Amino acid sequence: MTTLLYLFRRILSSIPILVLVGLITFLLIHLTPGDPAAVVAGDNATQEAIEAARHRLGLDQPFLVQFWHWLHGVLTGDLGTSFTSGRPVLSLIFDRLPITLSLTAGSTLIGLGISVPLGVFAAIRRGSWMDRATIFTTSLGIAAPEFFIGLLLVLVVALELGWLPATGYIPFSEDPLEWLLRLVLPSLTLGVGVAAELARQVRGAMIDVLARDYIQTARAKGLSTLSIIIKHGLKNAAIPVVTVLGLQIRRLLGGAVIVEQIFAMNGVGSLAVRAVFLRDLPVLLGVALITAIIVLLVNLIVDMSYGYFDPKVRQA
Amino acid sequence: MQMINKRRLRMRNLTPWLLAAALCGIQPAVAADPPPNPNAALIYFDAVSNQTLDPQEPQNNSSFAQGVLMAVYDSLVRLDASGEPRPGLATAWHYNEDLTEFTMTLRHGVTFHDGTAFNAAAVGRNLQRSLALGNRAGAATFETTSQIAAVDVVNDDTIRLKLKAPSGQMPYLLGGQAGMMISPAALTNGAFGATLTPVGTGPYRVRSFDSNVQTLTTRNDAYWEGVEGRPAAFEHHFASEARARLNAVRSGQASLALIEPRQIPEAKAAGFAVQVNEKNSTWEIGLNLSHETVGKLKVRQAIMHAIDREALADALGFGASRPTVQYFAASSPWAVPALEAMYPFDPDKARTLLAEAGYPKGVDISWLLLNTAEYKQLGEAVQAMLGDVGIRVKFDMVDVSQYTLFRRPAPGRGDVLMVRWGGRPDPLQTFQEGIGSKAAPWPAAVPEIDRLIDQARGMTPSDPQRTKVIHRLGQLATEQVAHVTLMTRSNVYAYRPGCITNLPPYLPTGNDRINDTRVGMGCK
Amino acid sequence: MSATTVSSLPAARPAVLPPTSGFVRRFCRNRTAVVSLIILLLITLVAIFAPMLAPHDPARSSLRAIMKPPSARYWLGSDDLGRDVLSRLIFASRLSLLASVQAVAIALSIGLPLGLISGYVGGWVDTIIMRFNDALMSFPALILAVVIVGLMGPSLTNAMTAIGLVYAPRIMRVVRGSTLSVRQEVYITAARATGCGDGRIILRHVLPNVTGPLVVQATVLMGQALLAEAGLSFLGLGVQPPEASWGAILGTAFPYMAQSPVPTIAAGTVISVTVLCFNLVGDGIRDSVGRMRRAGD
Repeated sequence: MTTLLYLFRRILSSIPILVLVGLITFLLIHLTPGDPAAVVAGDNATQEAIEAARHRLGLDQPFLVQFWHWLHGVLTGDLGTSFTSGRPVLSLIFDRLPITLSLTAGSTLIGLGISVPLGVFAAIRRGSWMDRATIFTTSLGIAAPEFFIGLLLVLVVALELGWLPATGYIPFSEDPLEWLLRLVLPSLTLGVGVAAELARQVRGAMIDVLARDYIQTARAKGLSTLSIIIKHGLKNAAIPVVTVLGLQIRRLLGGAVIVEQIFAMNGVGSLAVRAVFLRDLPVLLGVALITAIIVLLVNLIVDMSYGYFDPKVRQA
Repeated sequence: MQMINKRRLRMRNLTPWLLAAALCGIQPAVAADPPPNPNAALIYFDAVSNQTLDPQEPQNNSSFAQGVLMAVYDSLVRLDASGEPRPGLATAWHYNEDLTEFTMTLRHGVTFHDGTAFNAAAVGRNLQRSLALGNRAGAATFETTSQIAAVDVVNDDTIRLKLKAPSGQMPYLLGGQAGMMISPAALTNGAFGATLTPVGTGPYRVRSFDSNVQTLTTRNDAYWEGVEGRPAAFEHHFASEARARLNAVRSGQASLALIEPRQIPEAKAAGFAVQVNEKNSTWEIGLNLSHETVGKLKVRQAIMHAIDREALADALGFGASRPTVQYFAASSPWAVPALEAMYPFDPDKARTLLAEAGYPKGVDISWLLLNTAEYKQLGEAVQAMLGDVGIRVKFDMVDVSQYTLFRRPAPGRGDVLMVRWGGRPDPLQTFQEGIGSKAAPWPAAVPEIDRLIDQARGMTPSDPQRTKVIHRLGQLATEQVAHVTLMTRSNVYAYRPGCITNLPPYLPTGNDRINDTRVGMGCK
Repeated sequence: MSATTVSSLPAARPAVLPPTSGFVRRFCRNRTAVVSLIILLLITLVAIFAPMLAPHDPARSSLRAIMKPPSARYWLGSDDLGRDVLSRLIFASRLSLLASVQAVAIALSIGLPLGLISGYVGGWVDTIIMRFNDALMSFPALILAVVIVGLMGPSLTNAMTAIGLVYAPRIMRVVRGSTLSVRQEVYITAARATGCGDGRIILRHVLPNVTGPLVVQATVLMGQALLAEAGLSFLGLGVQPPEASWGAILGTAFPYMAQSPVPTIAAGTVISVTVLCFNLVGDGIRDSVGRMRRAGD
């Protein structure tokens, strides 16, 4: 019951932020130079069409009324219609979401797969050359622009060595193997950045755990370091790791914009970029809103997972 | 409809052939083209996309958007590879004495993809719709409808167009977008552009359409011309990155890709078949003559002298381009050889002309630039050349599908726009759409251009006087710098050897016509 | 309350930057940070003296010499229009660095006052500003930047404004945190009680406390802004030709990577090294301001 209550309270406290996210998205349209009604009416609009758009959009009404109508539309799943294709923005985004989410998931997995062993070894061998090398490479990994890593991977792995394909995306439903192969390089590109951040967290958390009293006791009792790590260390490290992972989602979604360009994937990121040149405002705003909501959702899940990792949180 | 698993099908279908060959003791063909595989899918990765599948929509006026349109819609007149009018949905046509009436006899037994019968009423419906669109339609369509006074459905297979003035152009114009026939059932409720369901009579029917992304079609097995060997499906994919297009062929995701000339060495080295289709196509810069700066002849002449066309063609053409100052390549009967000497590369002369035009400190112009690597590269190269003489270019970057913004809505956007011009079957159309006053919200460079266009329109294409008028138009266009040409261009394709057959250069449009292209048996 | 003046209160140890000499000494002991700082200074010098250092005119294209590999004439080779890559990178450093400074300045000009107000005033003002901040930080940075540029139109100024707006929340958080921790100090309450104006309090007591973490954050943000500008220009949304920043050079070199990989590698390396140096210097500053009160982010 406590867990449910905790869940409920957490969800409730997310709502104001969601509303604010919506408000910010709604306000963004006023960044457009010129008359919003003219832009919304489209490039081929006559003066009457512009005025009609102004009335239809309620731009001649008080601000809060406008926002309410827009919010109402969003809640019923209507994010507007694309200027260029005439398709509903939501369905455009949902079509491409699997691609971006595959990329995000893949990057997270690779990030975890690299950072956990690396962080653990660095913690165990603290102070050694390996530890210092880890710290240095993680600094590098954090600093290097993702797209540079991506370009290097394309150059070396795809072009020179020809091991993996460099472009495109094939849906899982069509060919699972190809789907996987094509995701390797893009996921690696973003995963390196994630791994760099996470490795530090894992290392820090492991060092923390290994210094604790009950660990000394367990060691004295003769338990191997490995089982200590697995039993206590990882669970302790889970919270900071999960926290950082939650933060990384934000970074991964942003990074997807560039990685999708490099690897010619038709995800949400490249939808947004193309929308800039098409001046397709509803699509741009829709992408902003949906990605923010995804970030909020992930953070919510992260928060709720604390309840699992640390029972004390639930009772708070 | 299920996805076609190409690899499995190819293997499955190779066996009976080999078996048959073994049984009959026939040697499998070596040097000749492999037999076509009617179960394969022709998957084409292109550098342009269709925003909608409405032939009359302005964005589809581009002759590079025609590939899909020609596959889905037949037109009344079919232009052959060299641009000559041949029977299409109309089997025969004739003019009256003074070229003011154009009558067509229509083909029997043709149905649209949705089962609607094709007849004169359907044609009438299409033409009435285009007439009603007026200048909301693309330039080629508008050029056609602006000449039509009335449409008469004579009987089920005969239709007559009454023209406002004598015009010998109808066979050419009705071979293009204006002649593409859409099912009347799809034309209800003012459907236009994105709201039009794309139903035609063509060899491929639309299965799904994703605006500016891809068009997936399947073979029309009831096609009136027969289906012999035609692939079971045709897919048109947009990939703005040339690298991605070549990689798609490399990985087997595509059977055919349009690549950029600079990729020719790389493609050949990788073992692909590289096909260079020379076209009646040029890189063109259009100018908004109503603007103060480029409206001045001396400024335009300065632009002409500032550009080193040879260097451009050598460096950026990779053997697929030749310098030219006119719409037509040197080998074309419409070219006027003497014009090539009119504007040699001369930066000093350019600066002098600018000063004479009243811009001793140089001039600023805005350039509507389409967002692809090829356009940006050429644009930057020309920008540098113009910058050298004091013409400071500022780019206004838009998506590749937004080139129509240059002219519409009025008064247009940008001082200049560079495009690939795909050519037209009738050279008069090139002048009409390129420099005539009907095609843009600004007047022609000089009134004589419009006068000559009207004059030529009143002659039949076989009239030797017409050729003279065409030459005079070309001369005037270059003298008055009604447009700026940079160099010719070709379509370059890459595919696995033996996989693609029958994709010859199709001169009437910028795309090549893939309707009869076959996918070879047994190619990976 | 007895008649004590502020000056006779026990000498508080406000968490200001320790005496400069202590800070500098500590910083210099961090060799990585020092090396990074030197590299950054060198890059800045290159940017300032670009016309003297660049071997060729970065805009001069030589169409007969496109995509040449590195040679004596073109140290890093020539790009797809025959321009010297090294000269372009040298001149591009100006745009890249200036752009980052611009973006961080915008972030500071928004984040600093808001953070001060939020932390100092507290109450519902603080709550509202913080919630707004949280909401803004829910948008992925690059996506928000792309959307803002999409609304305003692609240009370097708009890109930098977008990046500044996107990063302002981080500055705000740091400033608010420092402000909060100072606000709770006894001597602040005392100062107010004795009639010190809020403005004076902020200036004399709050700001010095904020400076430390702010400088760290701003330094790191310089690197982030550089990355963001590179990303936007790579996508064609930032700097417009003929101007070029490092990101733009990367963006135009990339399609030709198969034929000519050197420009891509060179531009990417330069960006990476610069960002790394900003990060390391930021780390160094943070470590050197050691005895500082824990503040903010």
